[in-house]
Amino acid sequence: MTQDDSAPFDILLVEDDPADAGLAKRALREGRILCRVSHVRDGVEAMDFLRRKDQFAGAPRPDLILLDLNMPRMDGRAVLQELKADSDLKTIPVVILTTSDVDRDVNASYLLGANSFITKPMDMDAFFDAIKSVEEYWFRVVRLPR
Amino acid sequence: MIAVAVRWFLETAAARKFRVMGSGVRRVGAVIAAQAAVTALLLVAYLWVSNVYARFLVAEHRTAAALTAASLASSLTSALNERLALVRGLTTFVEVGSESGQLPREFPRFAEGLRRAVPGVRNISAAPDFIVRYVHPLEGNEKVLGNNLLQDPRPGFAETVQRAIVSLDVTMHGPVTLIQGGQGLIARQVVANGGVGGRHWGAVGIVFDLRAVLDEVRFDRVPSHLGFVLRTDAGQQVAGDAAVLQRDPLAERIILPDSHWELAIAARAGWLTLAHGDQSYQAFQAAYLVLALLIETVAFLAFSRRQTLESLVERRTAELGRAKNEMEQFAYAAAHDLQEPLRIIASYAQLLDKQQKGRLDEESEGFIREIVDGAGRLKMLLRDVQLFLAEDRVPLSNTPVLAEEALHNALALLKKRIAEAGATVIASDLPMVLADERRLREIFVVLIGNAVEYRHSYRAAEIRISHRRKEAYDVIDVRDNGIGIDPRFRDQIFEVFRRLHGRDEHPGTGMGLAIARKMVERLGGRITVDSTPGVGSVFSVYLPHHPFRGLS
Repeated sequence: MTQDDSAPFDILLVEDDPADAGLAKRALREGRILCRVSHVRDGVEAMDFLRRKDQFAGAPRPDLILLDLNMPRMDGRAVLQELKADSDLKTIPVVILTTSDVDRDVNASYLLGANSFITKPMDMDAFFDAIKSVEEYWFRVVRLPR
Repeated sequence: MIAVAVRWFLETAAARKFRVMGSGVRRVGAVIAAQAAVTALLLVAYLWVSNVYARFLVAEHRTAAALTAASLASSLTSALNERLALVRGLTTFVEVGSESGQLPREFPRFAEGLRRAVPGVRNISAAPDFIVRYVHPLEGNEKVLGNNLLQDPRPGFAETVQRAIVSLDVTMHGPVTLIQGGQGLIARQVVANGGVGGRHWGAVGIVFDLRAVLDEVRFDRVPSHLGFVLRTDAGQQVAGDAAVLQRDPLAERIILPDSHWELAIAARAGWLTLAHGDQSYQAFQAAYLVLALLIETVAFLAFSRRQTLESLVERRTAELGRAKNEMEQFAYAAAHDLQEPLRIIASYAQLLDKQQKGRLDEESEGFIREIVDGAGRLKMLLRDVQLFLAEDRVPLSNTPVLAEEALHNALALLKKRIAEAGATVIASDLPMVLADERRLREIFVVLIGNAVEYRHSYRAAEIRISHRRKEAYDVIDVRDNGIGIDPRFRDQIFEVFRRLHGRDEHPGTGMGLAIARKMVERLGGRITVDSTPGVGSVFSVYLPHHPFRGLS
């Protein structure tokens, strides 16, 4: 679930599709910045991870969350809502990474406090570029809360 | 009766209303209206038929009443004539008796004979020189003796005697109220012969009891539903009820020697009321009620069946509309959801291609390229299907748009393809139209994209975009010098997935013109094509013209 314990940045990837998660992880690995990616499969796991419950007792606090919207059990909107209502977790930046390009989803996400909204590009190269620029932006350009 | 039928119908209609529900309320209204029309027709028919039948029954009753009247009149005539004959006999007797001088002795005996001839003779008198000297029976009639007939002060009495002098025949006077009580008829005749010095001898008279005459005629034979009135020619009521005269009576004359009486008969309550109370009329009403109910029922069944059919059609139409809607929604959702695995397939194929570059043989690399190409085509197809299906849902932004701007944006999107094909695009001034930029741009992309794609292989593509006004439309023509379209297929090109060329020859989803047409129609216009194979095609986009004051 985790890789490279010595990496300076922690990313939590919330994605139900393993193939999609695989692509995202690969894109992140190709990036120039060393980071540790933790992958959970739905909103319930994501919240457990963030609150270090049960199996996630020793989980790190992520520096960035890549959140899918449509997932089983607890979807991205619910995660976003709960996250932003939690005074401890609300400072972690959340990037929505979804196939949806509906205005309603975009607006709702920002309204709930999402920091970015990315529609997964159909083309692999474009997708890789998008992931890499996310990595670049959040870990190199901006300053994160500590 | 009809009211009952109407109520019955309304109640069943109300009961039905609950069964049909929904849009049924309006339909039940229509059924009620139709049923009310039938009821009104039946009512009019009832009024007409019942009127005709009642009049027929009235005629029947009047015929029967006329027979009764004739029979009564005949009986009355013979009863009166029988009594008048007695007077004539008395006259002859007095004539003979006065000449022979036997009168004083014979009178009581003869008179007694006359008195016994018919019932109700009150008295028989003889009046030489018109002064009563003989009367029979004497008892109870003493006051009559010495009465001067010519000077009788009672109204009508002296006049009757004068009439008798003129006619020399029997005259009748009455009915009068008798001194002795009761109503009577007084019959007199002048005895012409036997007088002194050519004068009349005097007169004779018999007073008949009216009751006895009427009893003899037996007016009780008149059926209880009929009334009668018997009057003299002077209008004096003899018997019966004068109200009959107000009821359109049948009249019968009773001829007397110097006058006549009239017998009038009519239905007591009026002829129509009598006819309405008739058993056969009531039977007719019952029969009509049954018939009306039958017709109402048949009409109701027919109307409600029609209504059932109509509501069925309505329901089916709604179901079809819903099914189409669901189908479209499904197709839209499917097109959307297919993109996800497709992205995975395409991405991993690309990843494989990237990773294995130079390590695979050429054939295997070809396979991977086919996967990537196929996924790419499928991606375009899904995008077009979505675009087509979503067209109705995406709201129109009806703002003035400079068509040139939309064209400019379209050309920017097509820049690479135009350059690769070496095509030239020449655009003249385009108007301001009421459209939305996104749709207009898409329409240009489709039309110019097609013009580039279907260019002639021997000459450089030249695409001209121009504007003209036609009636209420702004028409934008996209003219090319391409391969053109076979007239046989000209109508098909706007249909979904309709392609005239193989995919290897000309790539594309077969959706472009279908999408363009749908968009133009949504903007309130239409799209047409004119083409000469081998020379080129003109696609004309008609958009409603709007005069933009101060804008263009």
